[in-house]
Amino acid sequence: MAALEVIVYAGAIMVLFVFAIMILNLGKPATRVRIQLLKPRGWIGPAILCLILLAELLYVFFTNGLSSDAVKIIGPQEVSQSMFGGYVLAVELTGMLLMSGVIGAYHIGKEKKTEYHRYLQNINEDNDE
Amino acid sequence: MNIGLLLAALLFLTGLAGVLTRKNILFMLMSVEIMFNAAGLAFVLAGAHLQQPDGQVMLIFILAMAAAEVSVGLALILQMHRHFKTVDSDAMDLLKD
Amino acid sequence: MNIPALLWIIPALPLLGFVLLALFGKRMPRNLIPLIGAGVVGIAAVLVIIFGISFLNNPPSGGSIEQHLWTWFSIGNFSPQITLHLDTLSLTFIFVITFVGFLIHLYSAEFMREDEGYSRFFAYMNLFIFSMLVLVLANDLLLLYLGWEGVGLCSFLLIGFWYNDPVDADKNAYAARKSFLITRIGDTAMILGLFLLVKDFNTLNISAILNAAPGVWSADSSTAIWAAVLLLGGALGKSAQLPLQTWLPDAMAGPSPVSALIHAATMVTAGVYLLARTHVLFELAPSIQLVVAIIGAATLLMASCSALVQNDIKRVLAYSTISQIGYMFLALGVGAWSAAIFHFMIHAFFKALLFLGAGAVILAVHHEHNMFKMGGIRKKLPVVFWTFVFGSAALASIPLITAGFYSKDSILWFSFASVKGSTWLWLAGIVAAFITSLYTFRMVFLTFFGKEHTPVSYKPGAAIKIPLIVLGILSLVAGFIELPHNFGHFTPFSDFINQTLPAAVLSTRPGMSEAALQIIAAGLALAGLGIAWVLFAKKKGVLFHYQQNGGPLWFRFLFKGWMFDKLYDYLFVKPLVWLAKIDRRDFVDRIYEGIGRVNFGMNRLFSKTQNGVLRYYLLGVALGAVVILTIILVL
Repeated sequence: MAALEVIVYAGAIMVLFVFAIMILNLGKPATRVRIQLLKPRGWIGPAILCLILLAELLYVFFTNGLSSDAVKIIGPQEVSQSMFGGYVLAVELTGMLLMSGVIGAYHIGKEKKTEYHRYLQNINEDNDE
Repeated sequence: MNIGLLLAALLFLTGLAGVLTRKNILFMLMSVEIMFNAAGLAFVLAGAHLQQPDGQVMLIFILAMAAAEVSVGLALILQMHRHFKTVDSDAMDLLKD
Repeated sequence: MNIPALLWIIPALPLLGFVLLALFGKRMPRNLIPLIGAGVVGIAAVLVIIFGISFLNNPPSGGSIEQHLWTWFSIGNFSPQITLHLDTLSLTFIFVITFVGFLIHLYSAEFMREDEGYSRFFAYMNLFIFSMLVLVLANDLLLLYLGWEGVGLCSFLLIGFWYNDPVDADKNAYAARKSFLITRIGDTAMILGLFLLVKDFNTLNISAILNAAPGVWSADSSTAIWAAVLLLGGALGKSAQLPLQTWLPDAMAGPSPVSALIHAATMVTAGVYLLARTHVLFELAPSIQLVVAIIGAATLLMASCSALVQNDIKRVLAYSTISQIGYMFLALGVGAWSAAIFHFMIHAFFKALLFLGAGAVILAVHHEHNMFKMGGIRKKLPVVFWTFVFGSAALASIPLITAGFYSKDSILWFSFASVKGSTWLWLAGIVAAFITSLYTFRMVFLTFFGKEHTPVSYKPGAAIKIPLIVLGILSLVAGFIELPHNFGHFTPFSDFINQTLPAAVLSTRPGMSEAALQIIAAGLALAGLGIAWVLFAKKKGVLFHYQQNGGPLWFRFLFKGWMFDKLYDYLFVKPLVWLAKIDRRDFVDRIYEGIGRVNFGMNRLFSKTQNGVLRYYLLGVALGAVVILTIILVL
């Protein structure tokens, strides 16, 4: 399971992130913004919210008494059996989701050249003159 | 008191704090990824607690979905950058009153 | 001829005309509009004549015919019915309403032809005829009140008919509002009277009340007095008597056919009808009946004095109407019920004729109302001139040849000789008769004789001339159906009316004989004619003619109708306006204003959250999640 995580996350998603950052070629302005964020005014609100949420979650955990009992390790065999046994439909759908994700990402990320009507073809040239 | 559940809760809250605090869209997306991870961890723990493989199955699905979502999200960020020349989420306020 | 089953058609016809014209009037061809508008009233008039002949030939048992239509509503043990009640009194009234109404509609077909509100005019007129018919045919005071309100509404609509007039819009709207408000005061008094009647009799059915009243109330008991006073108040408002008479002269802002129909023949006589119909109540409160007579006498004196100095031809006629209805009230007050109704009928004929004639004259001289700017018309408009002369003669009650003589003479006789009459009342009547003759012929001579100040530009057509001729003939001959007692015993009209209303009781006081009174009245009428001839035809009216707001005090006093408008302005209007001004920012208003302001503030506050920044939206989501979780955990 952990191996799967490492492969997917560090391998794919982070690589995508790095690609995107490199494409966007951000520089100095982004760092300025980050400095402003470190001031207390920037994070005090969300911090309070998260602390409240933490308190509530802890309350829930403690009152419901989830014990850490010895767990039987469930091996990958059993997982795959269940996946291609009962959840095979979901697996197929996930495959389709991935495919549509790929196609969608390609289309959205495509650089579109603005097409002018043929009568307006000269519009950029006129500006230069 | 299951330590794993505590870890999942902390991860989730970290991600939430990150989403709410950061202005850069890329970092917001990364924080969302953290939240995804936390949710998946919670699923696995539940599956282990109930002695069923369903938790791990759910994790695989969540992982696949997260990957697809990240790719589409990054493509959208690229478009946004082309339009607004910045990745500051505050710049995209065209839906205001 | 099954009258009871067909009675409903008479009011239904004008209602049909109103509905058709109101819904489709704008889209109808121009010539169809008067056909519908005047046609329905004409058919109703014919039906009334047919019913009337049948009624006269076979008088129904009990003296009346009723047609019960449906029950209006029923609460507890109070259930007014919609019933149409036809007896000699209402037969007279519906004859006048439909017949004179038809003639006026015919006249308006030509008079209002150029107006762009042609269909609206006929729609309102038909609605008015419908309401008036409901008023007089009602057997229940609540239904009568429905008609009462309806005629008030139509009067308002028709007086302000030219509310879009580029010059006079404000004046017309003001006149309409004033008439409605003042008659409203009367209407309020009347509804209070109706409440009193319901309290005592538990029903508003007229016949039931009139039969039960002597048993329930003793003469001059305080309830009887209050009920009579309140009903009288309603009648005063509608009939423009003191103290509610100020609206009628201003109501001349409406078109002339409106003045003829509403303010001469029908609506202003609704008060007379009400008092005649509820005569039992007034007989049970003799002090109030005396008040009626005194009000009538005072009004007729006051109004005829004011009519003497007016410039506008229609205002002369307006004050004259007030004065003549004062005669009817005088007759009602002394118990001469049939004389009052007779005078009502004759007055409807000649006053409608005079208003229609005035309208024709105004049309002919380019909408000029000032008599002193007219003159010399009689050669150009012969038909109008002669019919106007007949009408004026009837108004002035020139002896023997005009109908007005017979009707006014019977009133004067009864005011002198009736049990409830007195010499003072007769004296008021006779002085006013002299002044009436004087101002009437002043009007005639100034308008038709002498040098022409404004050229005649419009000769009336047949639709205007026919009603004038018919009414002119009636003004002369209609009086012959009721001859005074010393001419013989030919009194078919009062016999007719006395089937429903009690006959007048003559006192045994010594006094002058009827013949002596008649000679005095005749002499005064002719004297008025003569003096007017000398003053106005010969010397061209230099007397009593001053500039608009100039002249000696007595002249201005009379010109403004004895300054009643100013009095009411000081008594009522100014204090009310002052109160409204100081009350403008009171705390109750602040509460309502505050609600509005709080709403605006919250709107401004909340619209700040819609700022398009993604982070705030996410914050909102997280906040919501926390709140819900908290609620679930805590509760």
